[in-house]
Amino acid sequence: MSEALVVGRLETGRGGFRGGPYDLHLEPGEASQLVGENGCGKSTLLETLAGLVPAFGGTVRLGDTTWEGPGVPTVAPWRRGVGVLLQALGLWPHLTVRGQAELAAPGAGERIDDLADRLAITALLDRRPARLSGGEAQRAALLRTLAPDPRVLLLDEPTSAQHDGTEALVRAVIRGELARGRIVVLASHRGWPGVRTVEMGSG
Amino acid sequence: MRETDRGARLLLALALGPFALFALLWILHAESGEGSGGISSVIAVVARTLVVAGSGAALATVVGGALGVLVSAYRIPARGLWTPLLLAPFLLPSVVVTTAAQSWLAGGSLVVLVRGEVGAALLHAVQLAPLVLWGVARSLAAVPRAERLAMRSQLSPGRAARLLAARAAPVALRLGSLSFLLLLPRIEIPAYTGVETIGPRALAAFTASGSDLEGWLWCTVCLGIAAPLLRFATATIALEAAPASLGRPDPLAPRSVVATAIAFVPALLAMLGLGGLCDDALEEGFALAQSEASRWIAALGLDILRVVPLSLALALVGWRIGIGVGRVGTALAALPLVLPGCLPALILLEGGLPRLPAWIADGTIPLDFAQGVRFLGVAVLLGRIADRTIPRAERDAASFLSPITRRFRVLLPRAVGGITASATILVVLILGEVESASLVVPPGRLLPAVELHQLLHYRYDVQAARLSLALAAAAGILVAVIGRVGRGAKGAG
Amino acid sequence: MVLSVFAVAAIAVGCVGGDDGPQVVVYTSLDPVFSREVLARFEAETGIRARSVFDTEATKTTGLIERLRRERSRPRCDVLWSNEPLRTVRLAGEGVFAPFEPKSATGIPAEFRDPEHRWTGFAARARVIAFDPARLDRREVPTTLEGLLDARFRGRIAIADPRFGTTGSHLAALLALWGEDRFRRFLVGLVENVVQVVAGNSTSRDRVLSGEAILALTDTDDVEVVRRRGRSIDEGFFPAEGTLILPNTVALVAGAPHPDQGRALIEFLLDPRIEEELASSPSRQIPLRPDVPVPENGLRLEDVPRMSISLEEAAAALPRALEIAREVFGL
Repeated sequence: MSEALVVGRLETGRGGFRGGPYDLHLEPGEASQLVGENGCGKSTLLETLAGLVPAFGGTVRLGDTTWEGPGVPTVAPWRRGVGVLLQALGLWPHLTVRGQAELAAPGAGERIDDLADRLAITALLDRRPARLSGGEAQRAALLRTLAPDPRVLLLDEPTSAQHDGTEALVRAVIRGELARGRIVVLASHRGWPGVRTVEMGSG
Repeated sequence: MRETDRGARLLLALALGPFALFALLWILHAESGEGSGGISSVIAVVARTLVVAGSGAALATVVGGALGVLVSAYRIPARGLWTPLLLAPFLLPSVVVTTAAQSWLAGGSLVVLVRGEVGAALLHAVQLAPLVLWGVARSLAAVPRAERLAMRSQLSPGRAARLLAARAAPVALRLGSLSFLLLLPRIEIPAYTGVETIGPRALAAFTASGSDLEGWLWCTVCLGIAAPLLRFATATIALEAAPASLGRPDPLAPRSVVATAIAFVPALLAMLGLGGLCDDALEEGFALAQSEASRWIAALGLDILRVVPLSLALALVGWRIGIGVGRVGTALAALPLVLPGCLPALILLEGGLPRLPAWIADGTIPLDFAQGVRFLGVAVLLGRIADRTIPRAERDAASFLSPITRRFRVLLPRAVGGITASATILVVLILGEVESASLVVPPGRLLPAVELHQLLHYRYDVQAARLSLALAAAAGILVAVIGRVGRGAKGAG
Repeated sequence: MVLSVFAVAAIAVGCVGGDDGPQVVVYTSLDPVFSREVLARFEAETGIRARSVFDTEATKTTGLIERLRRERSRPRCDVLWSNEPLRTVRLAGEGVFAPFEPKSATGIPAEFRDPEHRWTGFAARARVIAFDPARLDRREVPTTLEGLLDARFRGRIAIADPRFGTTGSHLAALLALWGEDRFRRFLVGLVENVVQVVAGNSTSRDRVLSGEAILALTDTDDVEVVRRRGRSIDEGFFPAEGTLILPNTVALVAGAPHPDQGRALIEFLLDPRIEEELASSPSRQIPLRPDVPVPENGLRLEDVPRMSISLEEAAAALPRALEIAREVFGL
């Protein structure tokens, strides 16, 4: 059986908000872009896929493993093998950029150096988040997300803090991951040519 | 969500169960002819306890919270000098605060302020307002710079202070409920103000009147009263709205330890002088003070060596329980806090101690254990607050790490500031603890708090003042030292 | 790992002070300002280390008594030195003490010694009524307890919480002396006269010092320690029903871990020198032996009009007296 990410009739929600049901089917190397207005539930759907927000119904599967589903215990976020870039980043202020990446991916020094180089943050690896600009912090968080080489990438506005030059770097890195057979679900207000779009308005 | 529902039901059972049990046992008790004063007396004691502890905690929250907002919102000069004065009532044992206030006010027309229900509530508030003040100031120190600048540039100082007050409210309310839980079984202030509350009643039952059954009945009443509040104190709601972490630099921590030591002396002398404790500096007193001084210093030093590691360990264990066992577990661990203070020591005497090998039974471990169990709730509640004030995004980002890495590499370092704050508060509470101390203190061991009680009994006020000064200064210096260690350990974050 | 480091540190600190050399464990409710000096001299003279546990005022005596009672299955204490006799008598009845007839007790009247030698009394205090001579003329101080019920003193009398300490002992003696009807009438009268029930005897005395109360029932030592420091306070006895005498009591714990050293301490404490020393200390205790010298401002047994009730009778009445007191005072 293929290692596809399959989302069936997934219902999500947080606070007073309810979204769904959503259906998705992504084979390795495929990407999907969630688009819609502010507050339509893009971030909530990503966080539900990541296991941070409980689902109200429906199923989420990756290959043979069911992450969410009726009668099945929910798989904890850290067992799903996903890489998540949160909109709020959530960088840990007590660790350097390298420290964060190494904590997420112990022993992945080479990959970290390579990714840092591609994201143009090699010089920032020994800095703590307080000394990073908004764009730098976002790339540092992306580095932490990609370092463990996750099979599924859930990226919430990955280029929102980037200017033209660095946005191209970020896009290149993400496309590189796609080319390596990773599954990418991203929420973005900016267009991603060639990526399948999921309109999220009425659900 | 599901866990919360289950927790809520369990807590409800915790709240209602004891009341039902209590009613049943009370009837049996009354029939056996051991009850005193009947049900109306019980209701009166419960009501009085609620009034005294409730209004004391409410006042501490309002006053401490307001002062916390004030010191955070405005730049006030000579902070190093008045900070010890603000914190002193919390750093001093209750018996000193009460005796000072009473000898100052009892002779005049303001006597009502230090006697009866009003006095008990006010003295409780005076003692615990610094706790709320400290917590609020710490949490507001963590308001992001951008937000502060926005407030300063766009709002009048008054409106900015109101906004800060709203930001501080969740922490203030939780510390307020912690204050209530601490006050519920208290003995000293009610006893010295002449108010019969649950604490003295339960103590009398377990010791003087020799009726353990009645003592346990009072325990169930305490649990019944405290359960709904424990539910609130352990709730996660609204705390996420609290700004960042308690682990930011402590706004009240003076810049240097030496400055603290120096500042404490005039501040405390001023306070004790006002309390009239220094007015009978007779030769006899001084002579005694000279001969006792070296013993007290040794006793205080030895006790600090015991209390600091105990408090740090307790704060860590409390934090671990607070993040790991859900709200119900947290509430259960916090329960001893609301029970009579002598209870862990009595249970130890009754059950465990005779079976322990002599080298353990004769050391301070039973004392450490009794005091640790008594105050574990403080560590758990503060540990939970420290954890819950880590920003959600950081916690979410840590969800993708293995549980051990998440706990010890991300959540622990991020909560270190809160944990050290909790340890500091525990140091103060344990140094001033006497109820279990007198039951399980190892023979030959001098405890500063017990010594203070004895000195005040015969009004050796000069010595009591000196010892309190040393005690509060030691606690104050520990606040500064632990605060610095906490900051250092947290790194430059 | 961090926790284990702390645990090791705590245990290390906890074990400071091992069992080196001969020692005796004494639980004492006499305040350390007086008892410590006596024990230090005992150590110097005998070479036996005295490890003491003291009590706090809020739970005066009852904390230590409770500790002794609950440690019965494996006693850790050798000697109880209590300044409240009735609870010692009761503990003796419960089998907490071992019989021991000290040689140094010679001269102590039989009424202050257990016929079965489980405890021995020495240096006593007395229950008195404290007043401020600047506020109340001595002639107006009641000479009977029932004089406290006079409407002149309404709301201005302080007594300590009867559940603890010597106030309970006093009530027990009154119950034994008067019988239940008169005793109950007295307590009800106190409540109707709006008596102030306070934490302890020293607090009760402090109410007189602050002027909140005109009269306070307390012990002689509580009055004397502050009078010697220049406070305006004096005491009155009760010639009519007699004044309750409260000797210190000393007893050897049954199954004591260091019985020989315990006996040595008891012999030391019962020496006439100690009575003399306590008589001249600021606690101004009353020697039980008629031949012990008393300083000029001290008290002799014959100076005090005594209540004709034995300690055993009072001790037997203690639980019932406390029960009635709790009922009447609503405690």
